[in-house]
Amino acid sequence: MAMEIQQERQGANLQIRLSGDLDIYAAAPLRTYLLTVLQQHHEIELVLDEVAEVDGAGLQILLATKAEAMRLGVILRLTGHSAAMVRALQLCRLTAYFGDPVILTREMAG
Amino acid sequence: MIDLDPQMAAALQTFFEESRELLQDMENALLFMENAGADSERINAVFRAAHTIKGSAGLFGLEEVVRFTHRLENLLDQIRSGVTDLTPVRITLLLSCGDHIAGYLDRIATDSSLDQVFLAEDLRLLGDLAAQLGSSPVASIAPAIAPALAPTTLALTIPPSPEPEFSNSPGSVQTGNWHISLRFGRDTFRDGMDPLSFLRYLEQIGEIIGIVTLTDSLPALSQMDAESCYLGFEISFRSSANKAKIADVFDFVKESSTIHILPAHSQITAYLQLIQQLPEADQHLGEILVSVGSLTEEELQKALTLQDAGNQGGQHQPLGEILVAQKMVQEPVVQGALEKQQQQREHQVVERQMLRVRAADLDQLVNLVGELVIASAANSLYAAQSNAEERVESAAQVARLVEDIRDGALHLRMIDVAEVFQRFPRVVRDTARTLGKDIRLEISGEGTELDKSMAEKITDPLMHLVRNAMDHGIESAERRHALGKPAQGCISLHACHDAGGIIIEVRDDGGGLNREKILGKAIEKRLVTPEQQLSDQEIYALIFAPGFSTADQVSDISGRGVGMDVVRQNIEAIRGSIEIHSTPGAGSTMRIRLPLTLSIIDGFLVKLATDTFVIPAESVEECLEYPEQQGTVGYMVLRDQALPLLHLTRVFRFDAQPEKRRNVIVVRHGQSRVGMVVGAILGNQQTVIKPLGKLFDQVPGISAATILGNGDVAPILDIPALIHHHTSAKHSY
Repeated sequence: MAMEIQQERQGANLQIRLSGDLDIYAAAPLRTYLLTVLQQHHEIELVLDEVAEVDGAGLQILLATKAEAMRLGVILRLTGHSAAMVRALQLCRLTAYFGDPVILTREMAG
Repeated sequence: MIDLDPQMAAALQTFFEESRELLQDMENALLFMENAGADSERINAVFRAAHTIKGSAGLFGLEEVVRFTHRLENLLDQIRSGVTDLTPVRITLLLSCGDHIAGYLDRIATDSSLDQVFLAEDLRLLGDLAAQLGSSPVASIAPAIAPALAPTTLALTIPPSPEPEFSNSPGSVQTGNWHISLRFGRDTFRDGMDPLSFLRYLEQIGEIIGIVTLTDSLPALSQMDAESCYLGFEISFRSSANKAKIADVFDFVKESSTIHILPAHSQITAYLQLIQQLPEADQHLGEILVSVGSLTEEELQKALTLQDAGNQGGQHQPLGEILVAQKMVQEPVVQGALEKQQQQREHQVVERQMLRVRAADLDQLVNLVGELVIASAANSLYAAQSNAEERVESAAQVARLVEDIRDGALHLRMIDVAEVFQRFPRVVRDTARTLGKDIRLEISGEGTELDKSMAEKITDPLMHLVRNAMDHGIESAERRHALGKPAQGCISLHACHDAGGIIIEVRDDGGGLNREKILGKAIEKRLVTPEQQLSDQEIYALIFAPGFSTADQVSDISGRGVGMDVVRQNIEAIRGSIEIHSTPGAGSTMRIRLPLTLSIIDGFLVKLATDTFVIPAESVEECLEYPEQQGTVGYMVLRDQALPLLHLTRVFRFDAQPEKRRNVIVVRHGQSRVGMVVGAILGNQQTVIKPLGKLFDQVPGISAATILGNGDVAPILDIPALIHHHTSAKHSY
């Protein structure tokens, strides 16, 4: 499922919802997009509740985005992690790296 | 043995073969040192052999072997570091341990259970090892063995968690987990691979205890190529899988990625090496190793301090030297690590130089070459008939190449006779001890090559002959002294090529065979009658008769009267023969004569009336014209000596008229020479031996057949049988 990006402006902040597969096919456009929005906003929320699949390329984009946000002083929050997102972060023990609260549903925990 | 996939089974087979070779090396080194005194090079060789076997056995989860070899290694380690001397008692113990490991391997290979006797031996050896180590028998031995005293089958299992004793070896890290270090190649995504899927797969064969995702090489978002992979992982992994299986996980990316897999309890030095090899800063990487749980903080500090110390010195000392100079690690540990590297390097070189080939494939090749030889002969024949000069020339060239290929193919099956002889130093040593005699072994003629299948079949008969010579041939020390002989007896094994065959001799400097005693016994056993007139040779040959034994006392070694007849049968089964030469008071020689190979011979083609026969060229000495004017038929005079003649037309009952021009082929087998009277001589040709069918294998004088280039079948003459038949029957030809 090709990835779709929906964005919603909330004042100076930006809420971005990524839905579909966060994978190698999405990586290049997503990188360009995130690079642009990071220049323009002070606070960005990435809503990940509709992420269906995550692969190494997608995860790598998130890692680079986090690093770039820290460099620019942009607040980047990852919220609403889908089960696939949580699994990927846990597999690589990266939850702590992003530092965002992750809400585990019973399905994810079980 | 549990079910193994074919790849694993093949690897296990290789392990058995290599281990046996290592055990042999170990034995050779020990025997050498027993005579020449200990030297560090050979002690190291013994240690390495044991160490490699232990390591490989661990890889296959052969717990019992690992456990036993580990104890052996402890003693070897003490000897190597000079804490303990290599005394004769210890050499004997080490030799027994080597045998015991071989016993383990045999039992695992044949999937048989460990019987009571074997386990009792296990217990005894472990006890002896512990005693030699100067420690009380290790407490854990008893529980490890006691339940095993009931017959058990060895299982290929890996302990869920390694025994603590292995972690205590100096210099190894505490953790019992594997450490896997991954740096995926830039093109991983483009190759359709996902690093996360490898991690998921890894989770299926074990448990990821700790993992750190490395972002060090990840460029800034603005710089990065979204489709290149920058990911790396340091993983602490707990699994019962072996290294090969873990490495298999990364099979698809092993070319493009950097992958290091360190087994549980690797030496700190191995981690240090890892740290140095990886691109990230040492300190940073070290912390990562700590955070995944592969190193403890102290272990890291120790390693890094050592390395810093070395670097500040301004010179790049080898790691091992730094560690030893700092007295932080005991020398043997470092030496062990370095040796292991060296050995692996050597091993790789050897592997590249040698190729293991299935014997069946080789046989197939030799068969095909045989067919090629026939086809080439046909080719030459038709070329000659066509009278086209170019064609004859090219056919001759093909024939020459085919000949080279044949030699090459046969050579593939050849092994050095030294491989057969190498078991004997031990046999002689042990037998001499059992007999209470002082006997040395001399070996000569290494470099003589023989067919591998023959080598396998000749070992047992040789073993028996050697034991027999030691037991019956060589006299007791007192008797030797009384006879004025040197107190130490001597057995010698010798090999050489002779007349297209191979001769292997077992000589002793003992009392020689007792002609009268043998004859007396044979008469008593009704093998011969007192009236028979027998030559010395024939009398000596009586000891090969079934149920014959002259030993006054039945000893452990020989003297039960079984064996010598089996020896002869075994030798004859590979188209060989055995003869005995003996000088009273000076010793005897058992001479075994074997054919060079079993499938192709150089044939000497002769005509008898209209039929072609093949005489093995190896037995042909010379060819002469038949002296028609000579009056006698049964013999001719050749260089002032009588040469018995065998008229083949009469042997095979040809009714044809004697040919106008006849020839004499002088053939030799052993000491006997006979002139075969034949028709025309057709010359040499390579001949593929085709066994005769059941219907024909009783035909006297014919050993096999071959197919000639023109498609005709030509019988191959059985020269030994013809000579024997002729000399014993005293025909009136």
